[in-house]
Formats: sequence, structure tokens, C-alpha cells
Amino acid sequence: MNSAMSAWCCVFLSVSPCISGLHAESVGSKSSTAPTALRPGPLSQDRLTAAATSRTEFLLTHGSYAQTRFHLADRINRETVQHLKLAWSFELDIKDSLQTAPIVYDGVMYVTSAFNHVFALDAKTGKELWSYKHAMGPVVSLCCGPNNRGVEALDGLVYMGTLDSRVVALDARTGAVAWDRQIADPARGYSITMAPTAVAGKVLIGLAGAEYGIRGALKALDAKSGKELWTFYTTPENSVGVWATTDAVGLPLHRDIAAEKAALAKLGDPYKTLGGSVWQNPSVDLKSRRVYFVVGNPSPDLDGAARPGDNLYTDSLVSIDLDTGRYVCHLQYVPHDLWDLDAVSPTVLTAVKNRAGATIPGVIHAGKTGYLYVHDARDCSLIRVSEPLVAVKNERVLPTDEGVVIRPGPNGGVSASPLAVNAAQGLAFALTTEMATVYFKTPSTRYPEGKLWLGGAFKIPEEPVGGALLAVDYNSGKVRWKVEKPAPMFGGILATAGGLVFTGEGDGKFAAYDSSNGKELWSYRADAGVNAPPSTYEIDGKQYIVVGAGGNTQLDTKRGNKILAFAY
Amino acid sequence: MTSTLRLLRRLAAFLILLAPLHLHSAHAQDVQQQAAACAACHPTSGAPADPLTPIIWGQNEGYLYLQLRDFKRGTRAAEKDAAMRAVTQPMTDAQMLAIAKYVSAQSWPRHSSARTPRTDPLFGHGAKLAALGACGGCHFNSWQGYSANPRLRGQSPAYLTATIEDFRSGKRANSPGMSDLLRIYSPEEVAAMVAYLSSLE
Ligand code: HEC
Ligand code: HEC
Repeated sequence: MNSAMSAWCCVFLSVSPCISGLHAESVGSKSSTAPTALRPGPLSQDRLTAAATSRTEFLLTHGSYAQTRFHLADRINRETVQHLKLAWSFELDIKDSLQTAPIVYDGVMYVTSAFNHVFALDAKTGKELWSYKHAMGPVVSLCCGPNNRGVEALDGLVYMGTLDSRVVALDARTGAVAWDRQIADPARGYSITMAPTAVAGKVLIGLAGAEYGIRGALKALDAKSGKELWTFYTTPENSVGVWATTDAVGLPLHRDIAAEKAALAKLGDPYKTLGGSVWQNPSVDLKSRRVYFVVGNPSPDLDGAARPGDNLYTDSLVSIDLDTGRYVCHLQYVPHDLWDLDAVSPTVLTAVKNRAGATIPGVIHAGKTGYLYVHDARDCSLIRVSEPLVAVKNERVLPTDEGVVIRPGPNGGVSASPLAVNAAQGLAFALTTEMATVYFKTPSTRYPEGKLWLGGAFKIPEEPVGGALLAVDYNSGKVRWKVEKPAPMFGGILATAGGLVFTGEGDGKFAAYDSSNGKELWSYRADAGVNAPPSTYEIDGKQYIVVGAGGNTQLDTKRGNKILAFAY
Repeated sequence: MTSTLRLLRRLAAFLILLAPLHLHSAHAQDVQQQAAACAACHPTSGAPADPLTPIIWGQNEGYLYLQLRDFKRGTRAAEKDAAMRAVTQPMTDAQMLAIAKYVSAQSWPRHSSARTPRTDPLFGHGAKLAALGACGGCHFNSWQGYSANPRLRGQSPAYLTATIEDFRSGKRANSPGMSDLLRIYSPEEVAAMVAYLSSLE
């Protein structure tokens, strides 16, 4: 499960036994304010295509279509970061789970809050230019909190997917609704928490809800009109696969293939209710015109009886054609998943070394399984798997009636937190959670028409939890450095040409680390959990680092409502 | 009088109250009158006379709608759901949506039903079990939930205990996922979680 954390999505499991009383407090809504002199131009495809070369703007939720979250700005660097100071903070009108990845162009920043409010801010001052408060439909089915991961923009419009499964396009200058389209039925369990990817005249948007037996999809809508151009179902009509007996790491899956084959003969292919959420932006390679993304867990999460087969393309990397949505290749991480180990963290495109040592186009993903996977972008094949990034125990052991303790559990490993990649260093930076989970087998149930369908139960044992920020050499699979943390790490990472990585923590700490060794060089204490990905930009010779401090539902970190911008 | 008889009486009262109304209407005024009839069993202030009757006012819109739909469909099929099956039988989808919207906009009744004090170890034990069970991941917002995820905070303890038992036995079959999650607890653990959740003001 996700949207959290997608967690039960990502079933995200809450860790702290203390229940904060601050959640989802509405702190009074601000009316849309008068326009200022700031007039964002129509962000063109050319600028988006070249996003990675901008030193001053942050044009896409994960920095570029490759999604490296690496930025060229280096005014703030290992020497100067000590001078970094809070420049402004903006209070959103809702205090709840904040996962927004700010984008910034033409001096304007776009952020979202929980429950799908959008704000356009003056990136230099934090002054509100306009806001949009989404009027939510009557039924919203969520697994992991009222999350939204941000917006993208193209040619004068700003796009957001909503918890009630709509996509809205707003005028970038005024917030006026240009179009608003319902793309799935929330009463049948569908929701959207990801930021859309705006590219090539299209808005790419994925559906979530694998805790409710959805049929997942990635859709392309026409950017101008919202009209549906193509749909790629994440669960194809033949979802059976190759009856894999091991996962991508080589761990035995303990499947009773004969029983599954008998079930298949009796039940038919389960693709219509097989889950396969899409929680995060896809990567796009405009040269090959291919889209890469990862797919979440099968439905029901923990019971395989109703879904014989490998359950393609759940828990997989998938590549499709940008123009047609046609399948190109996939690699499944966990066939016939019984542990809610969905692939959630967004894919990163970067050059990697193959096993022969040649440099080739690669795709990187870090899983809830706790491994970082390095693929050949051409055919999705796996080049290497990292050493485990978290402590592992009873991996792929079947859930039992009495309950079995497994590490990592449905919170990961690496959950929805995006990676950052510094290609010059050959390092991928990742946030991990150390949390054991007890998995229980429960009697099988039939598809419940869009109601909660988990196929088992979990709880968190009284064992220590923790997390880490770590750097993985993706050309060797080895962990280069690791900063251990007292609590699960969830949010996201920014890496810069200043030799820094920035990330936040559930207790409100937001810090900068030396990208070569993990040494902490600067920190700030926010009044709520910093569980969102940071962005950076430059205005008038100053570099800014911006991040949301609003806490997180699944991990039950302290909620708040601030967008914080630091400058030097 | 058995509680079933009491419920049947209230049901009769409800049907009499409804008789002059347009049952299929979703117009604002009619909706308000229809909802007023619900108060025969679900009072708008204080706790329901029958402890097995839940508080509905101020409950979340999406959840209310789905329950009305599910009572009508028969996927909530415990004996004590007979009243709600009867209530929902003549309702259209639009009407259920309209009533859900109206009921959710009212405030959660203040009531003085027995609460477990925070100092009682049962309260603390329940809080811990609910945290380790990750119940707040879905029933978030200080146990007020959102939309299809119900508010548990301050709900009637007898009702919570009974509906949890119905989930576990499968009589309440409208959310197999919720049934699964609750199956792993002992009666003592359920009692602790109920004591905690129902005692939050
Ligand atoms: C005759 C008594 C009676 C009347 C009249 C009545 N209810 Fe109920 N209602 C009940 C009982 C008893 C339950 C508990 C059923 C169970 O335990 O599953 C219930 C449960 C519910 C629930 C489920 C709440 C939850 O937390 O799951 C909803 C929603 C509800 N009623 C709405 C209504 C509405 C709306 C009306 C008016 C249109 C109404 N009821 C009229 C007796 C009544
Ligand atoms: C993955 C999300 C999720 C988790 C985790 C979860 N619930 Fe639920 N719960 C739901 C949903 C959705 C419903 C509504 C089911 C329906 O539509 O009938 C529900 C309903 C309930 C109800 C019925 C409320 C009423 O008014 O009738 C109770 C009681 C409940 N949950 C208790 C718990 C407890 C205790 C836990 C932790 C052990 C828990 N839940 C964990 C999603 C969840």
C-alpha cells in the first residue's frame, strides 16, 4: 500500500503509541489574494525537457524527467551551508500529512496540502498569489492518509490528481479551473495521491487503491482538454506470468504452484480486481519516448488464494511507450506477493555500469523489500541488486495463523520516499525504515465490491524501530555510508552540485549532509514532522531550499502546516 | 421488553414518521425531515437509549453512505441490522447520498455514557494496541477518520464491541479487510481498544 505512505499501500503502519491531538486541524482558510506583479509564463515543453540543466528553477516534482532529484545550484555548498537561514515560511490552511514536492518556475512556487488544496506562492517571499481548494466528492477510500504529492505544469496549466480520483487543470496565473475530469470511481476504492507527470502534450496519471481490489492503471490525458488518450492497465488480461519460484533477489517464494494452477482453472485470470496501484511519478526518456514506472501490490494484499499466478505487473518495474501506452518491458520484483511489498519509490533514470563494466542507460528503484535494484533501461532486465539496506528477517516466509515476525514489513524498506542520485559520485541516496511486522493468515474472502480487502492482518511487535539515510554505490551495490536515525525515515531527498544532500525527519529535524560521507553540516528544527521531499531554486543571486513540514499519517509524526524556505 | 422489541417499536414510529414524506426525494427539506425520523433510534443529543445503536450524527459522509447502501444490499447482515435493513429498503442511491451528507454535517452528540478514565490501565493498554495495530493509519485525524473511513472516537462502547464481534464472525461482511484486521485480537484486547476509543471525548 500509499499514498503513503502509501502504505497499507502500502499499509503504512503507525509506530508511535502516543496519539497526537493535532491532526487535520483546519486553521482557517485564506481567501485567494490579489494578484501581484508575478506573471508566470506558459512553461514550455522545451524548458521541461531541459529541466536538469536549470541552475535556477525546479520544474518537475523530482527535478527532471529522469527523476534524479539532483540540482545544479551550488551557491549553498559544503562550505557555505552553515549560513543557510530560514527566509520565509508559509502556513497552509490544513494541518495534516504533507508530502508535496514543490515546483518553482518564473518566480512562482506551486505546492499542495493534504486534501488537495493547491497554493501558488511568490518563491522569493512566500506570499500567496492564489489558492485552489478542491471540493471533495462524497466518497473517498484511502489506505494511508489524505496525502497529495504535488503538481506539475505545462503551457500555462497546473495539474493535480485528487483523492476522489479526479484530475484538475488550473490556470497557472489565477488558479481558475480549466478542466476537471473524473477518471475512476472512488466508491470502488480508487484514489490518486501521486503528482501527475506533464509531458509531450499529455498528463500521465496513475490510480491507487489496491487495498480495495481495484484494477490499477497509468493513464495519459490530453493536457489541453483532459480527454483520455490511452490507458495502460497495470494488471494485464493475462496476469499469470512464468510461475516464478523465487523473487528478483533470488529468495524462495514457497508457492504451491499446483494449487495455484488448479485455482486458475477454477477462477480464471484475476486481473480485474488484482490491484497494482501507481503511487508516484513515472520517469520519461524523451529520446526513446519511453515511460518507466513501478507498480504496487496485488489485491488482496496478503492472500494469494484468490489470485493464482505471478500477478503481473504488480510489484514490478514497467516500461511503456509514451505515445501509445503500449507495453515495452517489465521486471517483477516479488511475484505473487503475500507481504504488501509493493514498489512505490519513484524510478530514476541514469547511466549505470552493466555487469561487463560498460556504461549503459539504466533505471534505479529502491523497494519496500529493502533492496535497491539496478536495471538495463533497454529491456528492464536486472543488472544487480544492492546488499540489503535494512535488517532482514524471515524474508518471504508465508504468513501463519499464529503470526510470523518479518522484516521489513509493509512500511518498507524504502517506501514512497523518492531517491536522489548524484551521477558524478555514482551514488543513490535513500531513506529507510527499520520496522518488524507480524503477519497473520486469515480465512480467504471474495472480492468485496470496492470495500477494504486485505486478505490477512498485521500488527507491529514491540521491537525497536529506526531508520537511516544512506548512500548506495549503484555500480557495485554496496552501501557507501549510512547515517542511522532513531525513527523511520520518510519523505524524500534532494542532492545538489554543492556536494550536499538534504532530508527531513519525523521529529521535525531538517538537515544537510556531506554527500561524500554523510557528515551532518547544518540543521533546523521545524514544529512538525518533515516528511516531504525538498526542492531548490535561485532568485536574485540567492539559493533557496524549500520543504514542507506537516508530518505523516502512517508514521503518526507530529502534524503541522508549514512550507519552509531557507536561503543563502 | 427485549431490545429487539424496543427496536421494532421505534422502527414502527420511524415508518409512521416517514409515511407522509416523499421517500425517493432528495430535496433539502425532505432530506431534513427524513433524517429527523432517524432520531427515533439515533438521538441527536445524548447517547442512544439502546446501547447497541451507534451514534451517527457527525459521522463521515462517505462512510454513512456506504453503510446505508450495504444495509440495503444485505452485506451487513447481523440480526440487529434488521431495523436498518427495513429503513434502507425503500431508499434510492441519491437519497442515501443526500441523507449521508445531511447527517454528516450535524455535530457529534455530547453524551455522558460511561467512560474509562485516562488513568485506568485499560485505557493505556487500548491506546497502545491501537497504535501497534496501525488503526490510526486509516482512522486518522485523531480517530475521526475521513470520508469512507469512519470516526471511532467517542462511539458507543457497546456498539463498538458488538460490531467488532460481527466483523470477526463475518456477520458484518461489508468490509472483509476490517474483519481480517480484527480477527487477531483476544476479547480482552478488543475490550481495551474499545475502552480507549469510546472514551475519547
Ligand atoms: C428502529 C431503529 C432505527 C432507526 C429508525 C434508524 N436506525 Fe440506524 N441503526 C439502528 C441500529 C440498531 C443500528 C446498529 C446496527 C448494527 O449494529 O449493525 C443502526 C446503525 C446505523 C448506521 C451504521 C453506523 C455505523 O457506525 O456503522 C447508520 C449509518 C445508520 N444506522 C443510519 C440511520 C439513518 C440515516 C436513519 C434514518 C434514515 C436510521 N439509521 C434510522 C437503528 C435504527
Ligand atoms: C487499512 C485501513 C484500516 C485500518 C488499518 C483499520 N481500519 Fe477500521 N475501518 C476501515 C474502514 C474502511 C472501515 C469501514 C468499513 C465499512 O465500510 O463497513 C472501518 C471500520 C471500522 C469499525 C466500524 C466502525 C463503525 O462505526 O461501525 C471499527 C470498530 C474499526 N474499523 C476498528 C478498527 C481498529 C480497532 C483497527 C486497528 C486494529 C482498525 N479499525 C484498523 C479501515 C481501516
